[in-house]
Amino acid sequence: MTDGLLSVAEARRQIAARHLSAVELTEAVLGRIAALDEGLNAYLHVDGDSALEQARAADRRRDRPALLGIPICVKDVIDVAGMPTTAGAAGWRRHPRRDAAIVARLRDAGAIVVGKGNTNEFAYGADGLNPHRGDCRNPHDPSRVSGGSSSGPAVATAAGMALAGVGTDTSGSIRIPASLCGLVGVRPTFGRFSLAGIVPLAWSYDTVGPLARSVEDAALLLGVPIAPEPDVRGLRIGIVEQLVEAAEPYVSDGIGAMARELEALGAELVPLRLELLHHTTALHLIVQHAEAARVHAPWFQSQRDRYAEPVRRRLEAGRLIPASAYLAAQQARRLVVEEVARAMAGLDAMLAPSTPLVAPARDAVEVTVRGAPLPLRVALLMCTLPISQLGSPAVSVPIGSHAGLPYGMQIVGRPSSEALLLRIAAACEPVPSPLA
Amino acid sequence: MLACHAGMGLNPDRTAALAEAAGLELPPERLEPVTEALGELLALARGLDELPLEGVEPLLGPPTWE
Repeated sequence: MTDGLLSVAEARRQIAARHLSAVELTEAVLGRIAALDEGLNAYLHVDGDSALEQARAADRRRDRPALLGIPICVKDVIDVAGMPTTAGAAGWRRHPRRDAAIVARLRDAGAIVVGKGNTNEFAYGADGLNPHRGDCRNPHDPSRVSGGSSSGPAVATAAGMALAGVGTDTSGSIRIPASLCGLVGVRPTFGRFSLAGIVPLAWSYDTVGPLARSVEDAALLLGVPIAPEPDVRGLRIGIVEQLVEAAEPYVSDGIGAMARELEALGAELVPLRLELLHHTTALHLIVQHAEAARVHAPWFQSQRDRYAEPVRRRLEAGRLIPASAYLAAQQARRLVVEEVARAMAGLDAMLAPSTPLVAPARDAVEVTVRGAPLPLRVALLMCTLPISQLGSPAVSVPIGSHAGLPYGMQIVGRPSSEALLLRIAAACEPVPSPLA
Repeated sequence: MLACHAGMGLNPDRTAALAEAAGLELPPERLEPVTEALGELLALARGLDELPLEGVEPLLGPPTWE
């Protein structure tokens, strides 16, 4: 297998056995970037010299931390010392001297930062399109969207231009590209990892987490141990019926098939209906608009003309939301969390689609879901945004394909239940079929 | 307060007044699109009025599931 397409776990084994050096692995990844990235646009910044220097240092280390010599792609809203942070924007940038807390943690574990991954402008989008820096393209079909906003780390990982990626997830920005690119993506428990050194989008929802080609790789990046043989016997798992019924039939069928497989492995599947689910879009948009507008307030006036129109309009309208509307939305969010906590009593996790469909065409303004036309943004966010209210972790795992394009399923649990969710995800995981 | 905004009939002049009060400079060509976007958000906020929010403390920190 081409080195760039090795799993993190296999690369670790080969490096530990001295069958592969960090320099060889990094050179292979840089070679794939040179060959593929012009067509995919996953990276906004690549520093090959720095990556090779980090790799040489990794090869000199005597200790064997978990990610020693593993090349990763970091979303460009996350600071990496010595590389510009541009947030995928037209003019805004900063030049950090220090790594973001999550990058420092991964570097301590031995990871090598190859470069900064593409993103929707200021992470404020779900499709991976970027009018300023060029669209990120789906490696399964470059005429399709990659999903976003963590588009670059997802595409780099899927195409072997990194062994894994680090993204942020506010409304679904890890889970959506994971679904559309055929990856495992984890939105961790809210607050589990420090967001220091990351450009915020909305404080109530922002998280940072991994994109990987397998559950085992995602667990390694999270630093969560998982058992080699996944066991779901005795688990009670809910299925969020409204979200399953809202997705395209092939996605619903895929989740049904996976539920039957989990039952065959000894889990009990339970239908779940959440009465307040249909309020989550309203409350989320109010909270996110208001918080994003506040984040951008210090520079918005001087940068207004450099924003793309949809983001500019959201930030302007967000500045004018009455405080009473913001607080009502946060009151409603508490009711949603309380309802889900009650519904989850006696359950270990719940299942829902990650996206209601496979990757749409890059020029699609609307898509059809269950026969109804929907704006692309609405469709992409409809399954992940409700889960973002909960503060709980969610793992998106690939479970099927349609017309040659992958789609994923979310496994959602209580706060701090990442290890359990990864165990369930490992039971759902298909045999990997990496891109050539 | 929400009902007040819903009933006041948002239009570009009112958006301009809100922007001025909020310290946001809005060029004239921005008034129409911002009025439309804000109107959509306020309509969403009105939809939350059907929930039993009286006495509910806003969620302003990490959800605890207690």
